Amino acid sequence: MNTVKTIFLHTHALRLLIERELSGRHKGTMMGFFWLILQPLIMVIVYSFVFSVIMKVRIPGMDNSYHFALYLMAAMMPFTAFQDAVTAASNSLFVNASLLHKSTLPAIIIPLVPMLATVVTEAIALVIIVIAAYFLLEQVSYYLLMLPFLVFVRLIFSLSIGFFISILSVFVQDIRQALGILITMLLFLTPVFYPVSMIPENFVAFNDVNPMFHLLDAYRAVIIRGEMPDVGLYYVLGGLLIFLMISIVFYQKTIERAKEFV
Amino acid sequence: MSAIVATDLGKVYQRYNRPVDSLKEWVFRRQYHEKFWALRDASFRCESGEVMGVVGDNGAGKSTLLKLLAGTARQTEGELTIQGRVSAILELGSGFHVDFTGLENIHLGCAILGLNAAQVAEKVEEIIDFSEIGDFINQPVKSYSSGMFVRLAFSVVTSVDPDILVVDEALAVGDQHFQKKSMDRMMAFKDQGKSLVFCSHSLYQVKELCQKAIWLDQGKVKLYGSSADVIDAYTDHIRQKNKVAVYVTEQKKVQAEMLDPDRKSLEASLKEVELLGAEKNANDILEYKTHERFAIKILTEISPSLSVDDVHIGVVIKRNDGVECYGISTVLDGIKLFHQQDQVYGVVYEIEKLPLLSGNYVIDIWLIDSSSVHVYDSMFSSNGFAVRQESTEIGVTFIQHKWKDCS
Repeated sequence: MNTVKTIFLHTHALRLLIERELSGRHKGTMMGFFWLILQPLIMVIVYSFVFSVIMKVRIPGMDNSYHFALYLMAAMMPFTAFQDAVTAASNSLFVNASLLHKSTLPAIIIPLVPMLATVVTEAIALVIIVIAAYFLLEQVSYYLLMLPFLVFVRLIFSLSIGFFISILSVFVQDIRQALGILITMLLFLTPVFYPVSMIPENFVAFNDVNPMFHLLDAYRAVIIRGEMPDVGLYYVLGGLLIFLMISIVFYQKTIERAKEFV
Repeated sequence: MSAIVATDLGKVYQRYNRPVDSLKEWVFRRQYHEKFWALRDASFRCESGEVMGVVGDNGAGKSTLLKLLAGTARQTEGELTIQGRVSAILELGSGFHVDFTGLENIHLGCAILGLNAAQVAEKVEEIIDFSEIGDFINQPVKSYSSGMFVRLAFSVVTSVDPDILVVDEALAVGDQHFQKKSMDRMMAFKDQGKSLVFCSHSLYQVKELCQKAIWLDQGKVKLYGSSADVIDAYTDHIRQKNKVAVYVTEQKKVQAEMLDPDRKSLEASLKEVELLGAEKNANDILEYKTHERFAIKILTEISPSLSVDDVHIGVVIKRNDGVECYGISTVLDGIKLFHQQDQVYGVVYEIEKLPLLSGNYVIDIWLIDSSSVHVYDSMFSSNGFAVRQESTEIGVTFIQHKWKDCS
């Protein structure tokens, strides 16, 4: 609880750092902030072209040829946000060593900044996908109002892993190297590029306990299928909240030790 | 009310072979490290409106102490109670983000110190003004010179209205003009009843500015008390370290005795040397006060075969870093030794108002003939004594002077 209070006392600093995190990434580029929109937009166009126009991939039961591109994007965007958040968290203590050592900024803020920043990038990407879904599938549903909640769950997911990883990366440098591979593995083991129906029966049980599957499927439910997310999402959220608390406690207990190595 | 109360403060740095050992230690509760105490058993207090100086050699624990006070490191043991908001300027550009512009760093710096957006907006103008950064305020701070860095950092930390200001040596980087400006601002703080903790290699500054001082040595508090006492003692220590070949406490054997234990060939020898009119201080050294009487009694034994007129005494006062402060002889002054009894002749060398300033001193004594060339006997670096001054002027000795109207 103290952690929450600390963070609230430093909201202004947090806001400045997040703004900086977002604008800093595009500093020196000619289009600046516009890149935040351009990046997901180009991805949507390229995916649609490759999968729908050239490869004409279709998912069983859906006949619109743009369907697969959207189906893919609806899961890819939140996954990319998760990936960005966790990767940034694993580097955060190294990148901000001077803030960590020489200022009185509470250490918990440091990995929090890049992870919160992904909420903004994800939100922009989602708006683009929703608009694309509206034009390409000609559908709009009230369940889209669930999206902020899904982003929240996605953030909790990122935070609970991120705080943990940020500290572990200091003690075991190999983790930063391994992280990329682990995230790619997660991407391919979760039905993102293929529908759940293609998973062999022996492996379905594994998929059922994969929290990432429940999260990404919820995005698809509200954006593509126009329906309520599966109830599994709430179990995932419950589990993640508990894990997040453990993760924060771990962070606060070990940060003083970790500080000595960055 | 005490602004800072520190009780048995200690900070240990653990040395691990690999970072992961530190994590293993936390998980398995077993020791995987070697300890290094950067600071230990430090107890002191700093009242509101008081300026406290921290001095010590490199690696004495000054930075560690300031970090604990600033809150950028946590003590391993002991207690530290701080009343009010602490603002600190430690090392170059503490906590600045090098990619951020000066303006962004002002915002961030203030926000970290706990100001909200509105409060920051109020201060920005004043901070930019005081720092004299000018148009560079919109450039990333990595393009700043070290002077600009310090100016900006100082402006930020002092603009947030801290109750306690912690200042490292960093300030020395600014130019004379800014040093004066920042000093004035720090003094204004003091007058407002705020506390200042101040670390500087300029001992004169510390002596002038601070009421209290701490001398740290190898992580321990060597001396803590009024700044005059602490700085004088620390200055002695530095001179001692810088000495070329001077022995202070251990009295060297009279040279003649070593050459000729029976003293047969000696026509004259030093018999007794004694400092007069001083009390021993806490360190068991005779202590004189500047501008007070200093005297030394020197007795010699002169064989009957030698004319007393051909025996003279020379006295050289040396500081413990080897500086020869003053040397004079009875030859130069045309003085004859006074007869005491039998073969013993002697003289009292008296300085009515000792002009020497604070320091540790020793005396060389020469027994010479009237040509000042032949040496009968001598005694080096003996009779160590200390001098303490009341005022804060600097240098080796007091020099008679006047200040006059220019016209």
